[in-house]
Amino acid sequence: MSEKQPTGRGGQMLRRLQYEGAARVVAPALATGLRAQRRLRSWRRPKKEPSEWFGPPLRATYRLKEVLTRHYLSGRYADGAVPVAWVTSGFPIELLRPFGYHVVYPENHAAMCGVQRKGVKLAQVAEVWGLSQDTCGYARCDIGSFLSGNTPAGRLPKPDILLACTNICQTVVHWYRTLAAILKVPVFVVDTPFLSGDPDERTETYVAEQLEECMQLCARIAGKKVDRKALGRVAQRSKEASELWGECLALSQAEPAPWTGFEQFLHLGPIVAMRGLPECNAYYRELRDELRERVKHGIGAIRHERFRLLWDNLPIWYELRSLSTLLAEVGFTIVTTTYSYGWAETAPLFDPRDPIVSAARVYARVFINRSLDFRLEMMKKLVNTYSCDGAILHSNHSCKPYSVGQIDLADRLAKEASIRTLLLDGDHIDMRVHSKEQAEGRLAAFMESFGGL
Amino acid sequence: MLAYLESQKQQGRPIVLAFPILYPREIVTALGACAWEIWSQPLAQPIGSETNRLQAYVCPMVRSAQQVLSSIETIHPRPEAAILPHTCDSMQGLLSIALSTPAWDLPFLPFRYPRGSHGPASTRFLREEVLAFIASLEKALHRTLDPDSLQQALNLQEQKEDRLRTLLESLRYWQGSDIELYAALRSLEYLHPHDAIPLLDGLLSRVDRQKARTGVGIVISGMIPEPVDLFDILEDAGGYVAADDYASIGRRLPSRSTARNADPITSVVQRLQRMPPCPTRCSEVQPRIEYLRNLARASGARGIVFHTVKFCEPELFDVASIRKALGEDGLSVLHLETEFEAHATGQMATRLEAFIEMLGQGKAS
Repeated sequence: MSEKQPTGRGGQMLRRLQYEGAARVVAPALATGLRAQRRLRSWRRPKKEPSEWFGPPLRATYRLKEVLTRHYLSGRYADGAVPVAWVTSGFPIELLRPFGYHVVYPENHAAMCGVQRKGVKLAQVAEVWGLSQDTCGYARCDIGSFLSGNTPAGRLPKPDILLACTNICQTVVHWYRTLAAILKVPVFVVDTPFLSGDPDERTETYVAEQLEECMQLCARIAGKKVDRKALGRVAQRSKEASELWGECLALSQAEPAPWTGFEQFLHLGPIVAMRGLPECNAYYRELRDELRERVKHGIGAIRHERFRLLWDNLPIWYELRSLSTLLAEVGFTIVTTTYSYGWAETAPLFDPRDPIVSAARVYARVFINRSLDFRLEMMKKLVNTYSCDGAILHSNHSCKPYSVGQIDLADRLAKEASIRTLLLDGDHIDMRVHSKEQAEGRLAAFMESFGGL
Repeated sequence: MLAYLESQKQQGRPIVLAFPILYPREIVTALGACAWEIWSQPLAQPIGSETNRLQAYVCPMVRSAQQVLSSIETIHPRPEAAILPHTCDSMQGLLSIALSTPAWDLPFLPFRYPRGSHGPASTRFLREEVLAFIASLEKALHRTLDPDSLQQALNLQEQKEDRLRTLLESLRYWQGSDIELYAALRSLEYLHPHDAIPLLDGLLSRVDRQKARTGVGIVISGMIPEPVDLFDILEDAGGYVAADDYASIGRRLPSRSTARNADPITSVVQRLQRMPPCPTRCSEVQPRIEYLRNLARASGARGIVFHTVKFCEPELFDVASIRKALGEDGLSVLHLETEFEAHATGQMATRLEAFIEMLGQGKAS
């Protein structure tokens, strides 16, 4: 639970100092310290044998750590200093940037808990509180984290508002309304009706109208006026960020691929949480340049790339390492994922001259909000562009909108793209509904079917 | 049921399948069709040769719907169209599957209720959605809707609902068993309003306001009253249903309104907006807590039984918050989950019996 913050004008100024200090002084100093420590370690320790299966690690991973540390560290002091919003991953955060909101992504946070294998423990807190184990693991993990005050981020700032967008699922409405009742803060839901066919004007007008309503509410909470020029500049940065992310992903078309789909999941952090900020774009420029360099020198993410795969659905966060190794040992690599691609796919639709209407278009057309036929076409396109030999569709217990229809998708993709497909049961965060042995057995059999192993 | 639907078809009323939960039924009636709602497995042996296309962790209501659609060729009378509202992520996923399955040779009609923060934009969108729904149903049935027919259908629907409302408000004085009551109420899933009204009149004639039921009254909430023998267990334990909030029954009754609109489309929109709070419409939790609290108060119920369907995420989120809030009021809550078993499980029975016993002793959990 969040502790009491200093109040009054003086308290707010102090808090603001702490917030800015954490972002501008402490976090960079910490990053410098970490870099020095790394250098010292590499200088003192005997050189590590290169991995038998993996290529050299991405330098950008260290930078990623610094960028996210800064984000989470400053977040510890955000409430009371600046307005704070908790938002869903598909929410148009461009709206919030001109008002100086600090933005927290419960899904990113839950993913972080998942990677650190803390998800189940936190989910259990929410289950004791009353949530069923059949609800989304991300929701349980975050609600459990708030109720217990336990988070690998140190501390999450209490929100002034919760903002959800239905483009990724309907679950977020239930999740955020539950959170709102616990936190006693307002919630605004932007509804992006599901697109069974082609995008239509009335749906996008409806979304744009809600974005206007939402922006006015966020302005009131922040005590600021709407600045449409500033919003246009943010939209321009978001467009560039999505394009840069797209460029990073596209570099995996090279053979060998310079990074894996699982690494892409980890490097998604800034595009999800920091869209619209200059440091997000700077980060992806750095990552893109490094990936280009790797492509130029033929450095692959794995040492002996033989088969290339597509991954559908969210990752199994707590098994990223073991699955990567299992695949790499026999020359398999994930080169593209539908989820990562989703953050680049709609980039061309951003229009800084008309940020609200174009945001309505961008966010309503998110692939998970589209029909099965649309998703199949997108997957076929990825299979062709990235020269995939097969696809793994993670049937994710926690995520119904992504998973319902995957049985059909797996069959149709196999037939229409002439590749092998595997439906792999799991859960993005709850290890209790994932059978590691069974999954590994199925994966091994799938890889054997490619022959030559 | 099938004989009834066949007779409807012979009278010139095409059959329109309607999957849970919310859609403007009066429009189906106004176009001279008969809605057949599929809440669970309606046929004895409906599963066709097609394999299951949904994972085991998808709710049984959606899986039943898929089985019905998979055997659509064998269903007589053959439906002319199917309505698939955006009730939840799984039902929406099923619509996606349906639209990409040529073998399920039916026009599929989505219905999207606005799930946002219910401002003016939502009302405008809902109106447009109703109009789009009318256009697709007209196309599917090759018929045209005229405003007079819609007004007549609205009147008929309201007459039916008035009776149902009165009946549900009088459950304390119902002179019969709950199992009998629910068996009759479930026929509303396919009866044309013309036939539903006499059925409800018959049920109302068995309400005796001089004779209150004895035992422990409960509010029942959830999706559908299935398995039905749950009500036998309830009765044997000394309980009865004092108020109903099943999504298939009481939760689709709009609140009364005296306002008369010249425009029937406005009436359709407002009726949808006046429905009781429901998580599948993305209603907020607090109004639902108030609604259930009032149901309990008005009916003299001593506890609430949530009888939900396994894996139903919208309900599962609400139940946690409602349980907390009502528990603080001293109103006990029992949560039972069903997977549409043919009979209530032993565990379900034991828990229900213990709950009624506890309420009978005047204890609060």
